[in-house]
Amino acid sequence: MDIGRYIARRLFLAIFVLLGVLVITFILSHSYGNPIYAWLGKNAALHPNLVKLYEAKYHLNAPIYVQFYYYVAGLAQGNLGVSPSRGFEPVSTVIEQTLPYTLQIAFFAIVLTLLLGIGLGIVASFYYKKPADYSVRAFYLAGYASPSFFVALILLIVFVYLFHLLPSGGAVTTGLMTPSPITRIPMLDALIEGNFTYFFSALQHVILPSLALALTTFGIVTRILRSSVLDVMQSNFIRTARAKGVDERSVFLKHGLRNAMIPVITVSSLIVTFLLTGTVFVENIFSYPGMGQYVVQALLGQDFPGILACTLIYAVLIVLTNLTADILYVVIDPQIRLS
Amino acid sequence: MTETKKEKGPRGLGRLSFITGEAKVSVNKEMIIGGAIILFFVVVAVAVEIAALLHITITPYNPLTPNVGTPLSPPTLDHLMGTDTLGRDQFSRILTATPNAIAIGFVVIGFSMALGLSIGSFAGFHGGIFDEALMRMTDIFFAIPALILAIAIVAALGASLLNLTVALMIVWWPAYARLARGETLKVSHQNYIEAARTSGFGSSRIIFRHVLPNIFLTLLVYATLDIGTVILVYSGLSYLGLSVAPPAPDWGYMVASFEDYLISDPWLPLFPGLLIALGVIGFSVFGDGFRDAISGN
Repeated sequence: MDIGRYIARRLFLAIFVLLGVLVITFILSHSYGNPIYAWLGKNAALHPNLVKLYEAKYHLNAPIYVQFYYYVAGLAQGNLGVSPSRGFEPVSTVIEQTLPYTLQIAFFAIVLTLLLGIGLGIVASFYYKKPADYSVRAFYLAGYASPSFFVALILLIVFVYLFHLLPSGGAVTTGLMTPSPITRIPMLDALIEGNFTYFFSALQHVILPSLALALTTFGIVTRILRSSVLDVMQSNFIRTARAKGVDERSVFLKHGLRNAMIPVITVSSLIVTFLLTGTVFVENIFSYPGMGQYVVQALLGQDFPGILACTLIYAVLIVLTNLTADILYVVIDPQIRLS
Repeated sequence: MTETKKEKGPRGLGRLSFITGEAKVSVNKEMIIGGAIILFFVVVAVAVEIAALLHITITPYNPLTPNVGTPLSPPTLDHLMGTDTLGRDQFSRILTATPNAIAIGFVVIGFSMALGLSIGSFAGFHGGIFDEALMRMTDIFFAIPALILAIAIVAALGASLLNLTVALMIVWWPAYARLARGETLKVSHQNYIEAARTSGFGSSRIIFRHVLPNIFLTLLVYATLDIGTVILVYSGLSYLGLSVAPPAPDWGYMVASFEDYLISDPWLPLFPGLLIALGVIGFSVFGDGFRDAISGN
């Protein structure tokens, strides 16, 4: 299969998966009976006319497939309903405001996960079956086994209350103006504008939440990298390199590690899933104004459109990651294309 | 007596061959450590459940009675994990909450394995439209983080321990169906399956007698590692307040409700958090050891 057809097939599958996610969220949104009562909450009983109005507006008396059509058509226009937990603001507006912050945390969490994961993976494989290997293993096991909210609390104790090194919450020091929306991601906009006061303040605020996520996730990388390095170092091309007289350091870094990194790509979807799940908790603990905080608020406020929209967005993020990983995979390792 | 060959046979678990098929399982250090942790939790959970059925109190104090000690007193010999804001004994509350997480872990994984094995092996063995449909459906499930989907389902069903278990079951089984399907594909090209086919056996007999026993072990290894993950996700949902209704105790929810006491009374959020981590470590370490024992590594 050539690379173009492979990517086309992956794209098709991704679209199919997203349609499936749509069906699931649609079924969930209708499992309540009349979703209007969920959408309007207490207001439904107070304003019976409002219910009739919404029933007409959202075609709730129409057959189910017609409703699905309107649901998808609405989504295509960016209409995700209104969010009762946010004063009936359009959900799309709330997502627009919160998603950039989640992306900021996710970005730094991925960077830290890779740094920790790859670094410790190298240490563990280099000192295979030595004390360093066992210590790394104990460390990632503890991290993986701890719920992210627990790790976040420990970080709070250590870095905020004990050593007063970092702020305890929020996205940026209060009072600082948000940079003008260019990419709509505040930290990136601050960099483009040259607003370094904002950028460094935001950086200080994003470190702890993303570190909490990285500490629970890096084990996935370390574990797979360690076994993959050990595997690769047994292979023939490593023996050839050694026989050529390449020094051990270059053998490890240039030949071993490079090839050992490929399996890490296969777990990227797992990593992103882990991180996104974790944002729900750390954003709440560090009062970071992202989508994780919104989804919990929506949950507590029985805000159904909010929950479903977030579910959808999380799914889109994961599908995009998988797509990127699939493509990256064939680009890096041509052998895959053959199968 | 004839001289027997000095063969290093399986130790201890040799009699479990009805589960493990031909594979030899020799107990290793990880299995012992992890197993001990799991055993501890299971024993506590079972004891608490039995005591609840018989209406006797085996915890030092009644977990729901306020003011059994001075509120917010640090850990002492009387109150091993201190007391909470209402003066309830935290040790008793933590013990009482043990069955929730442990039982959910076993129930969700047991259900996922049973359903996953039956659907996955059927799809893998027969292939065709059913197989394709299963694969595409699991693709969809994998695109949504388990916790998020569980949140959406619980939101639709209403928050309770039962609904939460149902939500986790819905979310969890596709991974097992996919794994079982993959393993079935691997074994279905083996000679013994071909032989069974040529002998004219029906497909259900081949699946039950030949496929399932051979893929069961792989799924079991995955499942032991996975129970910890269920406990993690469950504790997350409990943290969000989707599990048992207060005043009944639950680990995740205890962490959430005592977050504000992190500095003044750190034992309140830290002990339940530590126990979640310890439980997950138990299952992970045991699962790792189990896998190594089977792959003969």
